[in-house]
Amino acid sequence: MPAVETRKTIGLKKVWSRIIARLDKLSEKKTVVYSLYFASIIFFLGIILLPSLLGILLKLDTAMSVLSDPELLKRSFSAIFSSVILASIVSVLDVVTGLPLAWVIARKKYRWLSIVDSLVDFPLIVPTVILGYSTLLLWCEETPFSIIGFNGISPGFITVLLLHFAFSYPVVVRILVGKLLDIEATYEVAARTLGACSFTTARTITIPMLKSGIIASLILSFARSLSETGATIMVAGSFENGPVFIKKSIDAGLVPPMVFVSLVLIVFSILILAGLRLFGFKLKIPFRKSYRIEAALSVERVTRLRDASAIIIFLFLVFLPACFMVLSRMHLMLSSSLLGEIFTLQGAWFTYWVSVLNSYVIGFLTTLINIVFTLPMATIIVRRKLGGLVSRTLEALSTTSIIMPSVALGVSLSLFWGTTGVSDFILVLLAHLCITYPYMVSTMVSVLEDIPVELEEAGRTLGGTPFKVFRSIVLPVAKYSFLSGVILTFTRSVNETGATLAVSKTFKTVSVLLVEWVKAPGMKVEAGAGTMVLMLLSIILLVIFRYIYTKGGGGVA
Amino acid sequence: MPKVVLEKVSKKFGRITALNEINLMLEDGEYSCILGPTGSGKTTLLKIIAGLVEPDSGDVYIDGRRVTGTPAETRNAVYMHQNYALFPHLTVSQNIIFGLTARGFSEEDARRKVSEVLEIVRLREWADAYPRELSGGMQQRAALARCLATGARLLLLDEPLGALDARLRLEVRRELSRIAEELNLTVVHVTHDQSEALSLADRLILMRNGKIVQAGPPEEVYFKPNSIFSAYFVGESIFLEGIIRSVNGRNVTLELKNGMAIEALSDDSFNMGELAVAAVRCEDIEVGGGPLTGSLKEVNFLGSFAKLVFELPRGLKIIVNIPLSRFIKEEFRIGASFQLSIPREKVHLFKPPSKGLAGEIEAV
Ligand SMILES: Nc1ncnc2c1ncn2[C@@H]1O[C@H](COP(=O)(O)OP(=O)(O)OP(=O)(O)O)[C@@H](O)[C@H]1O
Ligand SMILES: [Mg+2]
Repeated sequence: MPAVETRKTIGLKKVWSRIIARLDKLSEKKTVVYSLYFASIIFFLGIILLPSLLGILLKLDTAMSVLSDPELLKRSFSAIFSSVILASIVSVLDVVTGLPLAWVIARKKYRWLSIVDSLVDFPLIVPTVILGYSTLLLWCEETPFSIIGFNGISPGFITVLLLHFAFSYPVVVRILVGKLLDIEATYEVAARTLGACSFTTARTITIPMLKSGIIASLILSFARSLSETGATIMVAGSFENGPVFIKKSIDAGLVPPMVFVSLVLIVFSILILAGLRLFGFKLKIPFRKSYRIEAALSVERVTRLRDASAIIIFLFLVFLPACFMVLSRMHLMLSSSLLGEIFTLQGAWFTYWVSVLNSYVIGFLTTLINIVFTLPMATIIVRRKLGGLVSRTLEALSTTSIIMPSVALGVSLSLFWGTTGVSDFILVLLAHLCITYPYMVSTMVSVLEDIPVELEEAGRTLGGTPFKVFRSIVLPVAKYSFLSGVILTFTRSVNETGATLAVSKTFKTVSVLLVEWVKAPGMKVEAGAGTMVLMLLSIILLVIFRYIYTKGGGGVA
Repeated sequence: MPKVVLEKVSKKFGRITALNEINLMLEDGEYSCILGPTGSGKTTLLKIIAGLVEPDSGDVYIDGRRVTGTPAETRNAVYMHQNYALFPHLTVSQNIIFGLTARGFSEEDARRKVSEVLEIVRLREWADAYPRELSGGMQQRAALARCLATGARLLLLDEPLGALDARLRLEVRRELSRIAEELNLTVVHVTHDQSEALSLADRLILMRNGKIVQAGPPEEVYFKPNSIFSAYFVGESIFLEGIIRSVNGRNVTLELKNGMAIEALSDDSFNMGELAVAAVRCEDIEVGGGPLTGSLKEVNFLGSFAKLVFELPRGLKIIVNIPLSRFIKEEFRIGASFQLSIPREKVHLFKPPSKGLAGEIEAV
């Protein structure tokens, strides 16, 4: 029996290595490489960019009507303004508070840090709308802090800020940890032996090297805050930002305000992001001076305090909101017979497991397809394969679809694909591709930016084909950043709600189902249990994936 | 038989011309050194041969095959980066295996090859170390081993010894020439260090501003510089400006700015009354019995030789390198007056450069 098995695996290995050899050979041909570039651009334009925009652009003429309505115009602009302010605050807060935690995870050697490291991904796998609901419970309706005299706040700007901080923080930490792990600690050691204190070292050596990661973080958190709809509505109260305004217009059956606000937001954000990229890279962090206060900040007691507050911020403002809904329902779950029914595959739970399967299939396909198409794209962007102008334009455009409010994106997509009669499954897949594409591109871009070109050149002149160089040099060297790109894409797909709802009536992902349960009157306990099971499943999945990935990397073959 | 031919190869980066119509032919088994100031296009030239940079115009041939536009991995020419570019996530032997599997070696052959090249570069015990665990010299040898293992017969080395200390440099230099000889490699070696170039090269290629100024055996470049730049950049020379006062067959007299005159040999390109620049190697100037008189200003003892600086009337400075044997025999007292002579066959005459002498040399 074992003999047969080994023969089988040997057979598989052979097929695998033959496929690899085949791809190696193919990547040698310039025509193939350029076709790949071409295909990735076509994919981007035809699947990602145009469908997300065209639905809106087709209704462009109607947007003009907003201009003639001063009341509506004023509301639109105040919503847009709120969005931009909110997104700016959120992205800056994310980086300022996320960097210390990323630092602790990447550089300190405590055992328990691997737990914190895994916990960071945890909020990512909670469907955003559930996170919104959970935030609402935690800070407004059922706050556990009433024992210390805090009786909750009413929904509004602060709750939206807390929510946005909670869902974008893990993204930032994930990216920064990846970067820090890829940057060799040796530079830091070198600088410190040259007499710089640890704070100065961080400022002059590590942070400049982290720049591409910081910029990617700012972009992603900014864009994510600008576009999130479903959860924001839950906690917004009377506060109105772009997406909330859009959702309200759509619900009221008004297309013009949605088109107008989406357009202005897109244009605005493209400008801001392009500026960030352009000036962000030129920006030099003061280098010569060594400030006296830095030595004080480097004292062990202070760094401990900093590490501790980073962890506390994470636990209370990010982790707790992510699991509060489940925690607060725990006693109900335990006292009912529900937990036993989960695995019976009957009634509501059957629907649940189908939707979980749906989500994972979609998440898997989304990640895979995005990897295939964003790689050549990132190469074009970073290596300027088609000239500087093309690169810069593509880079600026590639993040458009995360800037779009997800509801608007969904509406646009269904306007675009709706007439073609494709199945709901495909529609959801397309929507998820659009939403996650920017995550993958940004990570790939920052991966490629940080790989010294000479490593690739060395690989090529030693006889490696482009594919082999990528697979055995670029990928392993940047493995942590690549891993974080994959995790972000996959989890984003699994927890997406707004656009999925907008494009599909019949095909349900688990996030959509859970939102339905949350909103249904008698399903409180089920919603809690379902969320908990999903979290556990996703954690197991992530742990397995990470294990395989870190064990599997590093070989040469 | 890696014979490399470049025909009218040009390359611009934006407004900078990195290479300007380069023509070059390298014979099989030849060890060439490219020498030139920073920014002169040395790296670009190597990368164009390697296929890492495509020329804007012109053609590259390797082994008689036109390779312009073909991908780097198919050229059988290995380029070694200045800072070695060892793959940080792979051990020394895995680094070497990379190139071997890329070229379709079986696993067993690859292992054999690895131990073979590690033997050549004397790194056997370090096969399983990661690059960061190696010293600079060892990293250099590991990178070299990685190139050698591929079996490529054309080696393109970009300042391979630049990061090593002076002693190690000498040692590795010897090793390089031994290996190149043993394996009959064709090597193009870029360097800033003229003694390295002079000692290693079968052919010395001198570059400046994207052009080849002079190429030939090192002795030829050294003894017959074809330009002021050649004389300045290879070896140590002094430059004297003056006017041709008499022409008698090949014998000419050059009157210097301070009124003193020296004799020189010239082809018949110089006429009476013309301006000229004489370049003389510092070790070719003799102390004693000449037409020039100067007072000794400075004495520098430099190990195997000594450097004497003389000052002549009107601010003219002449630097003379004399061998140690002579330096310890005689007394060279600062302030004393000495006669200096220059054998006429050691004087190289050039037309004055358009930018002036200082401009020509300082633009380096
Ligand atoms: N990728 C590039 N983009 C823009 N300019 C470049 C690029 N590569 C080289 N150059 C420019 O081309 C010129 C020649 O560069 P090259 O690297 O070949 O010089 P080099 O002789 O190797 O100099 P060094 O001795 O300093 O290594 C320089 O002016 C350089 O600035
Ligand atoms: Mg160079």
